[in-house]
Amino acid sequence: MAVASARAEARAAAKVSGRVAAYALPPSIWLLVLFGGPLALLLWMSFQLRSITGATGYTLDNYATIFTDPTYLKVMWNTVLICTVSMAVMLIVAVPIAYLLAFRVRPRYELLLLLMFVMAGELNPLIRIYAWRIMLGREGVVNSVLQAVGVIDAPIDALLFTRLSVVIVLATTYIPYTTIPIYAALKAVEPDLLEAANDLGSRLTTTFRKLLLPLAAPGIFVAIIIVYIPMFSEFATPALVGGTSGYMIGNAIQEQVLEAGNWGIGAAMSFMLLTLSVVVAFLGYRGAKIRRLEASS
Amino acid sequence: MNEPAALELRDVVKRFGEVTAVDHVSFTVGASEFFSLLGPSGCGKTTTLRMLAGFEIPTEGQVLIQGNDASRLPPYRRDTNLVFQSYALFPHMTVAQNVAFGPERKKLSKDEVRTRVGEALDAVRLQGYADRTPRELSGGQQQRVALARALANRPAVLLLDEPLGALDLKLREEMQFELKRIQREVGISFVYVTHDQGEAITMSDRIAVMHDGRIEHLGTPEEIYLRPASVFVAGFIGQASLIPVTVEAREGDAWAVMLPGKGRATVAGASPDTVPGAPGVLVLRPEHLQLSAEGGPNGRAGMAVRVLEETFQGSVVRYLVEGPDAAKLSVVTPLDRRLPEGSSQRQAWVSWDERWSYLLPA
Repeated sequence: MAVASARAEARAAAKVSGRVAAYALPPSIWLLVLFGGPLALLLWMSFQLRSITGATGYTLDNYATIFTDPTYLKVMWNTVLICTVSMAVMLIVAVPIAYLLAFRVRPRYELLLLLMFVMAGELNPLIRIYAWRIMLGREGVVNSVLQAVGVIDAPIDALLFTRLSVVIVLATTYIPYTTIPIYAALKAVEPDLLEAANDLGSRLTTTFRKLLLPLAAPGIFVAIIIVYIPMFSEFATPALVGGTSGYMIGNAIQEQVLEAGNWGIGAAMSFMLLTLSVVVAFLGYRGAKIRRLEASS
Repeated sequence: MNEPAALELRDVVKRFGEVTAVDHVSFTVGASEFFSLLGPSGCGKTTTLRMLAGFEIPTEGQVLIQGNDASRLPPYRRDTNLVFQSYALFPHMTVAQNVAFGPERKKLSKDEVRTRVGEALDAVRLQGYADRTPRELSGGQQQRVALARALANRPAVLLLDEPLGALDLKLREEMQFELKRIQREVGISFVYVTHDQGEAITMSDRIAVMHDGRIEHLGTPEEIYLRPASVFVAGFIGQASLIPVTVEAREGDAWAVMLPGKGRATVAGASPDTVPGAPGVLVLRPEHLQLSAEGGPNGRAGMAVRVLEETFQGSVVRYLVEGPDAAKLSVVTPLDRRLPEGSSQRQAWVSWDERWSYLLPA
């Protein structure tokens, strides 16, 4: 009896998993053909020289070039610096905003503010970037106001077409996606915990360090995964507000592939970027997972 | 008696917009006193406690901690600690880290912090649990950690906000004696907020019964139980049978009253506000009432009633009876003095010893 029912169960399980496989097949093929295929092609190209005009045999020259040529090293350094500073700026701003939204704003305004915050992020990227050019340019709003108030005599040129301007635009673009996961993590924290810390002799600064940051950590790691990685492949923002000093890997790839026709270098840089993203994603995931285990109750 | 009181409230008022949550409340808590704020939800007891902890600032009046005005001090600068109803343990810290949180904020040496954590865990009998995390503990153990964490700070006054509310009945009864033992051992004043009159009576040195933001009665458990200051207090504390009477005249220390159905009785104790000729309320406790199947006046105060319900409760039987003018009384009788079977809906006689009756103005 028991054996028979076990067999029946096994048959039923096989049937279910067969059905799951049937459902999963079309999207799997789709992914394999349209995502895996081009990716494999890209990988192949990164080991070819000038592959557009025909194969030249396998070579590691492309990778050697991007890891030794000072021009490429500078672009990589620039990219890491811009993305890291932007990420840091966003975290510094996002954690207090998430704290205010989760604990200090009156409940009836909470959702409204959150919605406004998200809507601001949904603005068309080109329009937003051009708006920033108007804000930050020589004759821009910031310079005009500062001059009118008398803070400065001559316009500040460093506001636009620098790494600073790229950081400003990136940080304002991605801030909603940084704030929301942190807000979600903090929303799960009992407000009583903050009162308990206060009651036990902890000022807000200590409470932030000892309580809010550790409990927000899962959200912070998620924010890093979904914001830090996409920023690495940004090219529109640096192209429009970065000038020559705010040049990033995304721009270098675009230039090599579309303008210089050097697909090998472009492909190698894309792969390097992908590897970096996977590493950051893995570290972020590990961090989020460990923190979640510790923080959940 | 020159030593200042551990805690003093002077004419404290708290308003939230139009609502007055606490209305001119004053009391003093002595050194190592177990003081309870007792009342139904919404009576202002929790708001009062939050003003003691510093989470609310009084609209009027003063809060003094060890003789110093602390009305506007933030919680982290007050010599009070609160045990939260939800325990509010820090989930990412071990039991020891939770308990050490307060002493560490005081910038004590590592050795001193360790000593305090050890002592606090000893006091609540959780020595072996230092390295567990809160979610590995049962509700009762979490409750003890919350208590240890507050005690480790060695506050002048420990504040407890319905700390046993989330525990099951058996554990709650155990913890009542535990809390009392801990309070005696550490010698810290406790201010205990509860809506459970049994808890308050069992543990407290004194109780303030609150109602609509005011203190209705402040006294020892015995005073509050036997000589309640108002009909509300009589009804809220324990089971009380309240019989409407007419106050007739004073007879020395006692009062003569007219019962429903024109019977007469003498009452040994009465509220100072009792006025002859006015309507009054006779307060009787179920365990002081005696029910007999036959009867009539037997030298004790009493009246004829009809038995409405009989409920077997194990060691006792509880009767609900109705006197003249629809006055309902609850009577608790030991099993050996149970009425004969089939007494329901029959006439009976209820009597009481006048020494255990108390008279209040209606």
